[in-house]
Amino acid sequence: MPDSHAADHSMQDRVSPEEWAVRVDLAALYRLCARHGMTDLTYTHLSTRVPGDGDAFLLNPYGLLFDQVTASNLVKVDTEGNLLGENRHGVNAAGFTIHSAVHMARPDLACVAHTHTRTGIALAALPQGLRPLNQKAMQFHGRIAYHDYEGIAFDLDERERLIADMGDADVMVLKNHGFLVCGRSVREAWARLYDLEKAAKTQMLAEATGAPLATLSDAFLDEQERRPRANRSYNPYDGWESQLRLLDQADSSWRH
Amino acid sequence: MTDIRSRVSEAEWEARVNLAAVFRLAAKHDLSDLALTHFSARVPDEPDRFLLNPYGLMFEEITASSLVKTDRDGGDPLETGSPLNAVGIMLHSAVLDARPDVACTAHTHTAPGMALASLDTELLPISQTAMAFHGRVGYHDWESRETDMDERERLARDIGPNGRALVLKNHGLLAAGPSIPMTWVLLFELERACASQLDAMAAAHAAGTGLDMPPASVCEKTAAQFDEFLAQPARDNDWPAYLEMLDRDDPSYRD
Repeated sequence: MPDSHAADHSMQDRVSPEEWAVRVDLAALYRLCARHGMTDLTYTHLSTRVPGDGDAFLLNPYGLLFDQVTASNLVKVDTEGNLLGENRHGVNAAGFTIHSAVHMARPDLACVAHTHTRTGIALAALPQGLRPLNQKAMQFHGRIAYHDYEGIAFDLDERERLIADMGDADVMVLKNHGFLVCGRSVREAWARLYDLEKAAKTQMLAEATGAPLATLSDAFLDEQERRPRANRSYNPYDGWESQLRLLDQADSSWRH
Repeated sequence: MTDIRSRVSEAEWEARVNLAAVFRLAAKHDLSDLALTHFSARVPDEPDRFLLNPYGLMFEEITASSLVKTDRDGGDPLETGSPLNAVGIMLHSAVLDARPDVACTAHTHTAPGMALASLDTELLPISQTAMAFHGRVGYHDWESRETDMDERERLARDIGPNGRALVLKNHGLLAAGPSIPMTWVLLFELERACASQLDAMAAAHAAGTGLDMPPASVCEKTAAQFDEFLAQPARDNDWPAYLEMLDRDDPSYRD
């Protein structure tokens, strides 16, 4: 791919090894979203907290397509909106509002992914929200929040309401807007984002038929919910490494 | 890993290459769910053992050598050290044990498959494609997030003596065929039958109409014609065309 951005000087020697590692992971997440059709031109944003660097987090350089994002061109900001370190690009103001809200309020979460997919936007317009109809959707049962739309998120006051609505959920439907999916790691956020997208797509295909749904009872779902759950913050079998190799086969510029 | 070839029979190697090809075909047709689902093939000269994909590998990366030979207890005679998915062992051994005529099984989590499985509706014989499964598809209720090896008894009951597919309710699909190549065809057509039924139902719902279906006798006649079609080994004859397509693009599945 002709990519002048990848030719930018590498930041690898100018940031901590921990920061470099999350830069590489977050750049991979941008490329995975691109590969799976979850982008919206240059809009929407994925972010990761920088380990050991206070409230700093990394966000995409505004104006680049997801398949032009690299580990080095990610922009570091703090929750006050100050650009940190060396940056050639700015950030999207609405993106800053949404992501800083989560990073300020939820230190347990490392990665925040926001999308405007066709499926996500459609689900966000449905009053019933996500239904626990199948194995994919069940993991979100009782763990998904909803936040009403207020206009493009330029108003920093919205952060309080975003956080109040999110509570201790890791996934939120931004009503009339899209998805917000978080994880304790980039790979956990990706696994959830992929599953939420597929669960929503599945639900819409099922509901469009107008046929009765094969619903599972709340009692059954609650009982399932109490069972031990695999830790997905680092699941060695989630295919993450395999997916990174597939990215590399196509274009390894994200690593730079 | 390439030394696997020298350690297995010719027949097992051929099964490995063919099953790896089915993974690649599924990936090409967007039937994968990242690295989460699994396909199996019985080892031709060891009928109690089967090949399964190693857990955590994307379908695009699966090769003949990377497949793991195991048995209903999850034993790994070749000691490759590759991890296996417990649900994969349970699900595929259930069908292979219950049905000696089945050589290969493929399980998917596609959106159309999961959507059909999320409806209180059966797979309807609205097309020739769907009629291939008429009276030959079982329905298996979702049990639990935790793997219970005893679920095999219920799976065996639900696929029955003639089933070539299972709708795993609230979960996904499974195709079961008499050979690896025919299982690929069954999986593809099962997915198409589900997707086309959803489209037709949505249109009928919106238009306030219903679905046209032939009389039951025609549906049964067609399903029986598919029985004969599937029973002919010659039906594997289009398989070289799929392999040629894969070889042109990326022959690494043969490794």
